[in-house]
Amino acid sequence: MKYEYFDEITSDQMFRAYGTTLSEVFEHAAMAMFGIMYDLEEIRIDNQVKVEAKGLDKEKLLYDWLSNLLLEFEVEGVFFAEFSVEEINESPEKKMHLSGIAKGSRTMPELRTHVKGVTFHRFALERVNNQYIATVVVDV
Amino acid sequence: MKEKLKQQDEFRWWLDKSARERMKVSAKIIGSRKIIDALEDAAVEQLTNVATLPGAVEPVLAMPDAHWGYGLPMGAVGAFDAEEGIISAGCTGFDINCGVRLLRTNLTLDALKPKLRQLMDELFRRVPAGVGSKGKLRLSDGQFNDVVRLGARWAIENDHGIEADLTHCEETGGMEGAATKAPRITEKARRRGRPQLGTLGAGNHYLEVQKVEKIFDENAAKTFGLESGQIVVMLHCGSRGFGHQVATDYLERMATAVKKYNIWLPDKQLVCAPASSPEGQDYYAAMKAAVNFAFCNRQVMTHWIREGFEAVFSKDWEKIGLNLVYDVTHNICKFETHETNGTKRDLYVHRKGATRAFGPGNPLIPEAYRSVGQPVLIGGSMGTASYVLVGTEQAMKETFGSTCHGAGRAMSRKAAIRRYHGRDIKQALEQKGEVIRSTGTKILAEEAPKAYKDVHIVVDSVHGADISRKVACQVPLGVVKG
Repeated sequence: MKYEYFDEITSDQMFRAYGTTLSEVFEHAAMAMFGIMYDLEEIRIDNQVKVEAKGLDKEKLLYDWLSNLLLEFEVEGVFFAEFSVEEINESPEKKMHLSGIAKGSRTMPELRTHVKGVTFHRFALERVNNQYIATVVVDV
Repeated sequence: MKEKLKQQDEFRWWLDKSARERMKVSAKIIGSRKIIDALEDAAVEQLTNVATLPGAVEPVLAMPDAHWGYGLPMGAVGAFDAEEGIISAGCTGFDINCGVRLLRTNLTLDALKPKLRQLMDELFRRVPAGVGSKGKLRLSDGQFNDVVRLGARWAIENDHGIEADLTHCEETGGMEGAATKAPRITEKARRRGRPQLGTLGAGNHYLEVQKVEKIFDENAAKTFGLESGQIVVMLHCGSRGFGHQVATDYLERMATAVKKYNIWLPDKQLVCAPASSPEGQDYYAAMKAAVNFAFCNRQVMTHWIREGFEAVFSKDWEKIGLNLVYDVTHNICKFETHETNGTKRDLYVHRKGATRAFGPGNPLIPEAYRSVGQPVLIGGSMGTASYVLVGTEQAMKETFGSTCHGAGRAMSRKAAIRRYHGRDIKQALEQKGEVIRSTGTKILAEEAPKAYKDVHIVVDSVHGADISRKVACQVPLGVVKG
């Protein structure tokens, strides 16, 4: 399973994303987040945007990645559906950096709600039995 | 945690600070038994979390529309001492100055009905809606600075409204002391905000043409210029991507501040900084910029609403009487002075899904309304009803001058999608005679009327507790959804 939604938080949306590598869990978390707003299958890809992220640890890197994707989505007007994390590296000062690509289309799909931001509520990135699990609650 | 609530009277419930370790102050919930029965235990626990934060002032409050959100429940008030307390980007949330404004008209249903469809088409065309929607305005860097510095005044100075619009807004449509530049306002926030001025957005934001169905308080209604059968327009939206990015930026910055100032947090979302610290004050100045953006956003759209009415009714908006009744914010942190235990204290009052409800005589209320109290605008869920309330002296004594903000969700969005279909919802509402205009029908399922609490029960609770009183109830005739 790439990701799943939980609807116990009445006003907001929680999801969990899974991946065997850090890159994979980041990509699946992005799919889960944009899947709240529209059906990813509806998007015919004809555009791509480079997205960078940074953070002091893996969790902060994930937060920055998801937040920057929301920013680029709104600024560039591209409805993202595919995500690839090209590179994650750590500087000698232990700062993490990510570069990735988000692909989508400027043609508007049928929209559901709007994800306003990534909250810290229950936010976690854990490694359990050789699998990364990201828990995210977004404000909708 | 709910079992520890002690009922004080028909509409008041107390949670003593002994309910849980680390609570510095007690919590109070306003609501009837029916409201409390439906309230999630997690929402009560979230109130206790807020009560652990430094400088919390008793009580931490939940309104009858409260529900489990992130950090602070949606529908809550947390006040903190201005010297010993904190300011929290997490408590305020993403949609800074999400708010409601109400315009009155001199139209009746008879005059509107033949033109309702045309009017809703016109409003839908003129007010950009939807996820990631971009406005018709193209702002230069300098103009953007002016928008976040001046708020709604920028719109007035650029021919999008009149001076009287400002006097009928909370904060007269703009807070002084807003940050405009880096590093307090990041380049990310500017990029995200600049194209979005003059956009409604999506989700629970809307524009409704309503009819005043019932008047409860003739004197207050007359003072606000409202009467039974009158057509009014309600606009619900906020600071859009700009406010969302300011919140995102300061959540990250305050996460660092929490470590620096050694603040214990029961939930990471409650990130905060001492009110007097550079991080706290920088956030407050950046938040004001988002507040001003939102006031300006609602003002710009008000101008387009007026133009829409002019096009449909072929006369000037002034002749249609499309004047602003009031504009309230229900997602904000504000520096206010309140009396607690007989002493006046300077506080930072966080209202997350709660509305200011100042009582009669307060100098911050427009002069024309001052004798009756501040108008409080309550947006109901789509297809149900909305209310105009008035602030009371009791709210000043008991709730830091605050009341509820809307119906409040009763069902998560995914649960609503599973249960309802957008097309059915649209059909049901149109059978009732409502005209719905939206970017799609899927959003209508998430916003299904039954996914929300009954707004009448919510309002009856705040009225019953006397923290605001019912003035008028409006029903929707036409809705524009993102």
